[in-house]
Amino acid sequence: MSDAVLSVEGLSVDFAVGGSIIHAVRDVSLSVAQGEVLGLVGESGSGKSVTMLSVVRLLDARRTAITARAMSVDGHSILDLRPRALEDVRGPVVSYIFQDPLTALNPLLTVGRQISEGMRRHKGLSRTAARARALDLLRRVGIPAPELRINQLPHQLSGGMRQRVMIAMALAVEPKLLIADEPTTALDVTVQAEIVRLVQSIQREQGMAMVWVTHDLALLARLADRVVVMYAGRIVEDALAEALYDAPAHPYTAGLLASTSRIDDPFSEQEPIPGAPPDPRVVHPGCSFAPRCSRAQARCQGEVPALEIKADGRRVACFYPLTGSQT
Amino acid sequence: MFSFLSKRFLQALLVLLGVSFATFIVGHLTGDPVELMARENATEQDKQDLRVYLGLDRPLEQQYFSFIVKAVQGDLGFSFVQQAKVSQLIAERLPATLQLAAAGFLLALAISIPLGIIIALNRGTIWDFLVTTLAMAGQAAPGFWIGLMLVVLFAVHLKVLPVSGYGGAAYIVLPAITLALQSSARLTRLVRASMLEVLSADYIRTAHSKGLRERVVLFVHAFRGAMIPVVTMAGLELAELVSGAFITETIFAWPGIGRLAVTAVSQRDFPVIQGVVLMSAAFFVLINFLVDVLYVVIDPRVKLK
Repeated sequence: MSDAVLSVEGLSVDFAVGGSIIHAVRDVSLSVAQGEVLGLVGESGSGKSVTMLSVVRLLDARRTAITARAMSVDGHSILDLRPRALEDVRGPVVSYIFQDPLTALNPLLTVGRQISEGMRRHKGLSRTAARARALDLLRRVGIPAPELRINQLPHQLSGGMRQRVMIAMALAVEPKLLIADEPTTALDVTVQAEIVRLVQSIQREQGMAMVWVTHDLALLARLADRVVVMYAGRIVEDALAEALYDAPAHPYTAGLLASTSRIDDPFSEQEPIPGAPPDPRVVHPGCSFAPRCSRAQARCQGEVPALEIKADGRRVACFYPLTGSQT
Repeated sequence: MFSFLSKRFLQALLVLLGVSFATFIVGHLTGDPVELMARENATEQDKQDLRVYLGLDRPLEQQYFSFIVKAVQGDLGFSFVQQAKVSQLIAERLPATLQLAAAGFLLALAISIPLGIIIALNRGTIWDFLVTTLAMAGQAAPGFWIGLMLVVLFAVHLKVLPVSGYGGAAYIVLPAITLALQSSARLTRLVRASMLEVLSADYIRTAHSKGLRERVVLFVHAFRGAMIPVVTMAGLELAELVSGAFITETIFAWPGIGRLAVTAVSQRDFPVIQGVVLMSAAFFVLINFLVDVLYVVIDPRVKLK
């Protein structure tokens, strides 16, 4: 684990919302190695985005409590950092690509300005040097006529181009870890594929670590080395991508796969998972997935299954997993 | 950008035309000015002569037309009550009003913008609560009450400032504070709300994710956007101050447009009332136009709309 760029142990995130407390993330441990692409999957409210936002404490500190046994990014112990030191980590160590580039880009500042400011802050570049590099980056992410675009505002660009700008912005400071938080969700399907390919090619070229947060398991198939599945704030399965797609161990992962269309079997029936995700305000005494699980037994209702490491290195939180069952 | 502003400019002219028509009509609906002006023993013939002399016998549209033509040339008519040209009366009073408006407005901005930002950043704390409550009280308190309380405190008890009047710099302090307190009560709450809204925007999170210094996030990314609604409101505040702070000017015996208007109303001096209303409207329209220009500067997206 020493070569891990990101290492999280026992992370919990609680939100205070209108008097009640929401346990958005509960006891999450994961790590991302140098050059590794981790896919983080879960449905809305599963805590996947919150987990990744807490990596450099981007959540509103007034309303959230982040606790962890240990959490470090590239050797920086995040929870111990003072605000100023944290600002130095944001960007050159961890960069983000957010979901909706229209709202994630400042509508009042030019594209060039928004790409340049990180470089000027962290690399000490002059205005002209930063602008020249911003032009290179725009070219690099495949924006036509970058000399024109660099002086434009986000609303003058198409959705796909805006996301390319976000990518250029994130790459500007050459981060060690790139966190892509559902970067294609807000885009047209045709544009999605281009963006995925672009990010993938850049990641491979630079060899940086990447976490791709998504609810789309199918998208990760050709992207991720390893996939972590979250449900109701917990990790339920963590496995190498191939192993996970071939033989999911957790019933929820299996359910997700069954509800996804597959390129190698386009005519198979897609089966939705019955039921709805649990109310995050209610603390369930047992496995959160139990009410929707066909394999659930009495034990699942009263006891939370621990995330256990199996023989093949896979981690599963289930008493009655589909593969590698030992209990 | 040019087409946006020229469109706004045309709109402003139309508004002014409308206001001039309304004041002209109201002036004619409130009775025959000849009855007001003529001596008590004037014969019907005298009155008719006066009417012809004043041009009141001509058709209404002709009268309106010449009213507009004269108004454009700066001639707003003649006050028979004060025996002076209206334009001259206004010109005499305008400097005092502009001084007071500028002082009050700048003070209001100097209070409300920093204060609004500070309590937005410290939302939910006791300071936020105190300032918000105080601002609400300031909004609810009538201007004359604030003015009188200031007079009681600073002029009567502490004896550090004059009670009222016009003269050296000391005279402007209390009326300016009175105006600024009312204005800043409104503006502080708006700055706070607007700042909070912008600070919760996704692009602020993006700015943080880039590791920008907190003050850069605040002043480069948040402040500008937050100022958009504030500029509108501040423009209205300024327009209101420039067109004469009637009550405050009266309390502090400030020789401005407000007092001119109050006196004119009590004397049924219609040409003066008309002139003041027209001038106030012109200022409103002008300041709104300036606000539109500022919009284009702050928010480049406006150009394209």
